[in-house]
Amino acid sequence: MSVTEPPEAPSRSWTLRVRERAVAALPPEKLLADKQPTYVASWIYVFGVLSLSALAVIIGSGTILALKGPGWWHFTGIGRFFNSLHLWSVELFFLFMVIHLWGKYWMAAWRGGRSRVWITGAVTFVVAIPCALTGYVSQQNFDSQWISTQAKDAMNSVGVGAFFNLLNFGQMYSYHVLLLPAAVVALVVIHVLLVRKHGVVPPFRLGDGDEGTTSRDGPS
Amino acid sequence: MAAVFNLNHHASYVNFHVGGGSTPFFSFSMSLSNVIVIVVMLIVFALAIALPFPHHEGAGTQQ
Repeated sequence: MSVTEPPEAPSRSWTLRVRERAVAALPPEKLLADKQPTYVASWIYVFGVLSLSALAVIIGSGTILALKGPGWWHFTGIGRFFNSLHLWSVELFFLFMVIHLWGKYWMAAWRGGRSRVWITGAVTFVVAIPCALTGYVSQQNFDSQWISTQAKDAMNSVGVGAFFNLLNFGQMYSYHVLLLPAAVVALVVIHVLLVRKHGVVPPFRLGDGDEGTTSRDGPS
Repeated sequence: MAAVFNLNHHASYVNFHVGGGSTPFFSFSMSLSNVIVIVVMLIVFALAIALPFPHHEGAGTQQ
């Protein structure tokens, strides 16, 4: 006598639903694409990934600085090297990000249903500014004292001085090493995933200024 | 270690005004180092658009 088991009911667990939605939104061939459209072969498309590279150096050098502390980054040769590495990677991050922003602005990169790509990029830029400012006031030297006393007047003038006290090193340091970097990295991850989902914005076609403004399917 | 550039002096500023008198119509004031950075960014931006990108036939692109 044989016993047949009832067919297994389809699982409706939340992990399955999340997986199905994630794969539907970003199938593997889109998430880790091995080919890009021909129009991407231009130097102006390089500045996004240059910004990402600079951000990786910022996070890496910043992690080492946080581990070792101000005495190390001010008074040892290798500490000053990592301090400079952190500073100049930030300078390059903003330089690359501004050129990336200019390029995307003149491409009208919000076309073709890419408004969220544009918005997350713009918000990343805005959040990166206080992230850098809190770094300047966390240096633990006369430079940081000068900048914090000047910047607190700016905070007071816009009515947020009670919430963000730039003279409070503990507050500024925790903002700089945890809260704001986490926000920047999270926004960058969302931004990159949205780029993967929608595809890189195509350039305008000559003689057709409205091309690409209505399609939500990315580059054709 | 000495700095590459001597920073032990007051910053140089670029100033110009549009309209005379005690309240000019437009006033611009920016440190020379910031002006240089912005000019460098504009040059890099122009070069990124103008310079040809190296092409490798059939490598990683689709029509």
